[in-house]
Amino acid sequence: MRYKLPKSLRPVLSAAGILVLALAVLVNFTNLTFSRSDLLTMYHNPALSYDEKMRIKIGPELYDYIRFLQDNLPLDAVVLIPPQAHPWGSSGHPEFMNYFLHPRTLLKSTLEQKEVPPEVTHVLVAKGEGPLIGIKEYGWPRFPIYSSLIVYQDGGKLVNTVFLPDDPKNKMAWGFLEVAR
Amino acid sequence: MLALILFGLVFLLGYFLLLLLAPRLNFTEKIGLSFPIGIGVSTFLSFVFNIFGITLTWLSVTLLVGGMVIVASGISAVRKKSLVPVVGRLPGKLRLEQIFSGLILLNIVALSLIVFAQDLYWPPYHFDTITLYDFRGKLFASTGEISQIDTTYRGSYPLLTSLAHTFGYLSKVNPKIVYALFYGGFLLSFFGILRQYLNLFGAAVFSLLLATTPAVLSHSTIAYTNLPHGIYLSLALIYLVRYSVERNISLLVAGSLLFGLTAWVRPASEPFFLAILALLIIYSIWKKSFREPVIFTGFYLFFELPWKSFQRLVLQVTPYDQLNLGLLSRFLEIGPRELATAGRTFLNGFADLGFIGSAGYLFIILAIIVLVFYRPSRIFAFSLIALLLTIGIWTFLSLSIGVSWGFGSDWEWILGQSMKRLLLPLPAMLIFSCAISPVIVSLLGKRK
Repeated sequence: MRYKLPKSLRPVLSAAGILVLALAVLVNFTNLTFSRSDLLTMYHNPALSYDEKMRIKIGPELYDYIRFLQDNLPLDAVVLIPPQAHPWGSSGHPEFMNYFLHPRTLLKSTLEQKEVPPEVTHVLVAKGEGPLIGIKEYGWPRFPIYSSLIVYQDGGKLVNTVFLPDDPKNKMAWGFLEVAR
Repeated sequence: MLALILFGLVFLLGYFLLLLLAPRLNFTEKIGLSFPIGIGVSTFLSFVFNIFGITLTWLSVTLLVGGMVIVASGISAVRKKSLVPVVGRLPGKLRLEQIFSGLILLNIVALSLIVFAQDLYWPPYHFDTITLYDFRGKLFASTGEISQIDTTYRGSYPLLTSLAHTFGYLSKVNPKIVYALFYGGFLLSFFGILRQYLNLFGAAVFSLLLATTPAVLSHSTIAYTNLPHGIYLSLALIYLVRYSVERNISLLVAGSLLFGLTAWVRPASEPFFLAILALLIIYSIWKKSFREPVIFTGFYLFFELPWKSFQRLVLQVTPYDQLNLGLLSRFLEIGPRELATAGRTFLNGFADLGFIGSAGYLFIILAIIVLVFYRPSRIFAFSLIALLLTIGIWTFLSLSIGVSWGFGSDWEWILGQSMKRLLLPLPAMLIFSCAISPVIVSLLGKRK
């Protein structure tokens, strides 16, 4: 030490040091980052399936839509997905959707898009899972598309028709359409 | 069962490699480092062997890792290294210090078990995990081939965590358990390091501080590269600091091997490499020895060169961290506003109790006490240099992103997200510096 401390002070300093360390540990414990809801879910539902766990983490609306697409979109489909913007932050993110839809080919779109690229076989019909920020209403695509088949997640199907973006049902729908060629 | 065999062999590979390369580490350090070293080396070897035509299956990976275990243990046996560790006797009568220490260590074990349970239960779901790390891991497991990476984004990051996920999928287990094993190994090796300087109680308390650091704990349940990178980098620097004082070659090798693995887990390791190499060159000139930069560079290039070559020649992607010399001049445009933004982000992380916890504040208090009342020990001084180096490189990387992207709102967003996560090496280094400070050593130092 630079300065020689009186012997009487040493136990005091030792106690102060231990106290500071205990406080440091206490501060960490009060800032622990365990998610209480995660732990409670684990405790009450030890045997949840993979799908049920992902519904909790991804969000039920989006995850159920993803499962619907996995079950119904052909594996060799070339799919036009919504733009990567609110409210399609995840459903419009190509790498995010690719995790679930691989090996299908996913193509990005833009809000200003007015037509389907020639290589596209299917287009997602996506209400949007996120909040409306910088945009007035839900629903995508935003331009008419001639479709040989439109399949809605709620079970509805339309054959050989035009997808109309202004139809209120289509604005709030989840599904996909097969492009008529 | 499959997971037990494969990950057990990974652990053994790490242990025998340490026995061979860094025999003078203590038993606790070796056990703690076994998984981080083992998973790094085994994923790297899987990558190399896949390039040469070996398809990734559970059997091929297990045979590869098992073969390496046999080779490493065989060489150790030939060199007459004891394969079976000597474990001390349990004390007959427990002292109060041992009881308190035991309770603290039980806390750490409990935390580790909670982390393990969470990682076993919740599948990978975080954004970057889904878009990159776990996607690649699943792809490699289903196709058996690494060259399936087909985009610049997916080829931008090294493969350690993705291949670790592949090991998980091949073994039919949730790959997130890898992060629980990283967490447990980190704490155990850190405890083993501290036991070289502190008594049982001191080592336990400071290990508990690390275990409860919010960022470290939260990242043990997030399948990102940040926790493994933080572990490799912080332990590498700690070992190199220790080597600079103790001159024990095992410490140099352990530090260099751990640093080499940072190149296998995340990109942009070059600034750290160059900065540490510069310091090692200065050190080696001072000590009139050339082994430090040679060993350090050797381990780094062992991991860095094959991956970089694979990126350029096989994937044909531009590496994420490729230095664009044309942008160097834009560094001159950096002004007070940009520096202030980077500084603010750093301080937000450093002072954030919900991120680094109490480590930052404790360090400041102890550093002031040491500088005013004590003569800083050499190891404390070197640990301060390592801290300043880490902060300096972090600042450089933050500003580099701004030079590439522009210093707008996107840059500020990145600073607050992925660059903040890059501060994960700091807690261990701060806590180690506190633990080996003259204040703490005089209070809780190991009895001679």
